[in-house]
Amino acid sequence: MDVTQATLVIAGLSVLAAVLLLGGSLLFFGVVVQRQYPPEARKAKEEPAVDPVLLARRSAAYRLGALVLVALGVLTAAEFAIAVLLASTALLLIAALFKAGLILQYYMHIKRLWSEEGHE
Amino acid sequence: MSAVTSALADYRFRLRNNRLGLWLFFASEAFMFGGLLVARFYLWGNTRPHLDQWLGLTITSILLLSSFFMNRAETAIAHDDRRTFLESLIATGLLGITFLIGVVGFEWGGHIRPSDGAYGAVLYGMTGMHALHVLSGVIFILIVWNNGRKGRYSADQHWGVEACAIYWHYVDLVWVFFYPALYLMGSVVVP
Repeated sequence: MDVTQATLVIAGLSVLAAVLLLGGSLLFFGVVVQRQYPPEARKAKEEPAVDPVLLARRSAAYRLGALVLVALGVLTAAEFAIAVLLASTALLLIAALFKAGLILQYYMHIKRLWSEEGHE
Repeated sequence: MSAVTSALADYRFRLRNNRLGLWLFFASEAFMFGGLLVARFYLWGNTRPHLDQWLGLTITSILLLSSFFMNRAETAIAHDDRRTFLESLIATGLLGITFLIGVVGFEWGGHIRPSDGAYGAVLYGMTGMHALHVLSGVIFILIVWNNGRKGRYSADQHWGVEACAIYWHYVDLVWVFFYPALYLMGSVVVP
């Protein structure tokens, strides 16, 4: 078996594994979660979130995540445009650094490393 | 101090140590991924092989979207929103698998082979090492999802979710540098 055949076999096995994982996940989610968390139980578990202050805080957190996604999307589109129109390695590096900064600050919460508190 | 307060203080102490340990692990990983990036610039210089630009942009967008859902899952469990937590984890895992199919199924099925000199070696080395981390991240997500389904996380105590989320974002962070290095920087040459 040469390298090309081996690569194709690995690619085929990976796709098969991915399909199995996908199918298994959907089956597991549909059967097990539905059984363990019927609609009434889910509703009961969501009760603590009815506090309007908590709801507002939660919505703000979701919104921030979405805003970061939009910013990352815009920067990625800018990278693509820079590569096509300007072909500038320096600008591409700057755009990547901005994206990394956003991910570190808002998604990875690097500031928590120096926090004495819990998860927030 | 009550038993509950004491347990929470103990949990927060362990949480700080766990976080530090995870970030030290990321630092060690950064040397490996950094080495791959150095190899790319040393061997390819200001050139790159011809790769499918739309595929690169699509899988990058998919990975960014998966990071959004992972952040949503972490935010949800921090606010006791269990349904959104479980659904967002599933979405993250599915997007991660889609990314893997894009890289392994389509990019690796292109015209460049691992035996195509420096271009093939670097391309497969970088994408392969990154794909391995995505695969381990997907497995991590499935484990966290299974634990979450059993109600093992709460708003106050969910280190497993936080660790999984940071790991996934780290994988995304690496791709933020790999994507322009592989697909955008330098002029196209045919290997």
